[in-house]
Amino acid sequence: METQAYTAIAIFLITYAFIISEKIHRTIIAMLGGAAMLVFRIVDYEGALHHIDFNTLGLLTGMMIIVAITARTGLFKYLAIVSAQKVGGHPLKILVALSLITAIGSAFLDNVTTVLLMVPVTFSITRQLQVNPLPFLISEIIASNIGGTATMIGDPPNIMIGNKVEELDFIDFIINLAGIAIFIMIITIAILAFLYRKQVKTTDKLKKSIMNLDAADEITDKRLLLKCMIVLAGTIIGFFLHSILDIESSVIAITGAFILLYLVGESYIEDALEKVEWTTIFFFIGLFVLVSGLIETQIISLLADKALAFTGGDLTVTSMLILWMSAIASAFVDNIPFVATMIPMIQEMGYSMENIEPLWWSLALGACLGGNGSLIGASANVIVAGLAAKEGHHITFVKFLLIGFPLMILSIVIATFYIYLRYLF
Amino acid sequence: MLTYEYNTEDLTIEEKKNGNDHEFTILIIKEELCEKLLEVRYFFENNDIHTDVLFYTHNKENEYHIIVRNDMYVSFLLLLFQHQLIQSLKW
Repeated sequence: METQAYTAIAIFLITYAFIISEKIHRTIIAMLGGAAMLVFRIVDYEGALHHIDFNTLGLLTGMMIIVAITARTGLFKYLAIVSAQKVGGHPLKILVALSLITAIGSAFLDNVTTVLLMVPVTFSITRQLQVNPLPFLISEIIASNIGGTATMIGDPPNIMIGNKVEELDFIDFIINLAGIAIFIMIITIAILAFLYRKQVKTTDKLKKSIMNLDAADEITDKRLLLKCMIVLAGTIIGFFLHSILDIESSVIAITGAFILLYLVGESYIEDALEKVEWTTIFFFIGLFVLVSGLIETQIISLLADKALAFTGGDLTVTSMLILWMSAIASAFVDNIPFVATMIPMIQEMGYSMENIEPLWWSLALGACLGGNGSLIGASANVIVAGLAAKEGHHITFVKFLLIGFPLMILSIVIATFYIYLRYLF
Repeated sequence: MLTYEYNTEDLTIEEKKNGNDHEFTILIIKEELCEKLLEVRYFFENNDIHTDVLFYTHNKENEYHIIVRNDMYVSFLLLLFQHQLIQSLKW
């Protein structure tokens, strides 16, 4: 290997070590790592720009704007109260209902945004019922990671895979991942309901108080809600049709976002753009440039060759290795840099293997479901734990690990059977 | 002990202590005061703490059930006073 390659490996490993240590904000480290690749001439400016996936960035930004405006309508609170009333105010059934709303929301919106919308209403309902909110919050964390697995826009790993792999579109993700995500969700929620059945009990009087709530009052602006629903529905239909229309998913998301801003008026623009998680956007930019250093110096192709030599080029062994490695890694380190590194590796494997589609689904399932393995496995987990701690309810690392890790392993076992039976048998 | 007075022609306030919370049931009689109570609600719903003061609207017209955390009791009453929903407040 040339000196440049060794320098690229050193920059990559140092950056990765800092990201894992969480001593400095991950965005600062990723951007500095990316900058180092440019400063040390590992990649040139044009090459770095070429490797930044603007489709991923556009999709994320567009959806963040749409969600920021929709969040102001009180829709999630309305849905939560209506579902709580539909199940007669029964706490365990409410736990299931709120988890399902979180899962569905996470499939079409960003996981972090979904849990940020669900946590306040969860506190509100559990206080009214005088039950411990922790079983509800833990179930919602787990549901958000499973729900996010179901679609191309549900979780950052899927967004990255969907945008980097030209052969895969929005419908492919639904066809290949939604069914298994729903199955895993049903099994997981049944186990959670069984585990928490004794912890979430209340009186008939308190159940009745939920039934007396006026859900409609939670909708703060009906006209705004209508506009948001039209644009959100149009955007999701656009995702379904993007490969037929030959329009990139990012174009659909950005167009939807700015149509909504046009409809709601310019008073919303400042707030909506402020709500975009720019730290996440820049984190992606830094990582794309960082990984480009490994691609340009042929390190990724070398790693792919080594991996293929290890698995003997066997598709089944390679799929299983990617699935389990992604899951375990994602449980304890950020899955975004992991997936950013794995994508070019799998693309490289495509030159030596005939059908690498199972490898993409293994990566998606492993990286998304792996987030349930520990409290630091996904951003949504950390956000909910932080909000709960601020309200005096502590979700400790061990408390979450004891529930999340076995459930994550179970989901990966199910995914193993799914991958094998559907693609490799 | 913090005491407050309000105009009974405008609204009625029922208050009871429940563990670490104070529970209020406020029935607004004078329609235009609903907007003021909404402003109080938006204040607490948009701050950084999710469980300080929780508002629940009941199907019964203009009746609100409010759960106030013990440490936010004074802040809540002060805000009611600021929005002229209560007329006096004294220790």
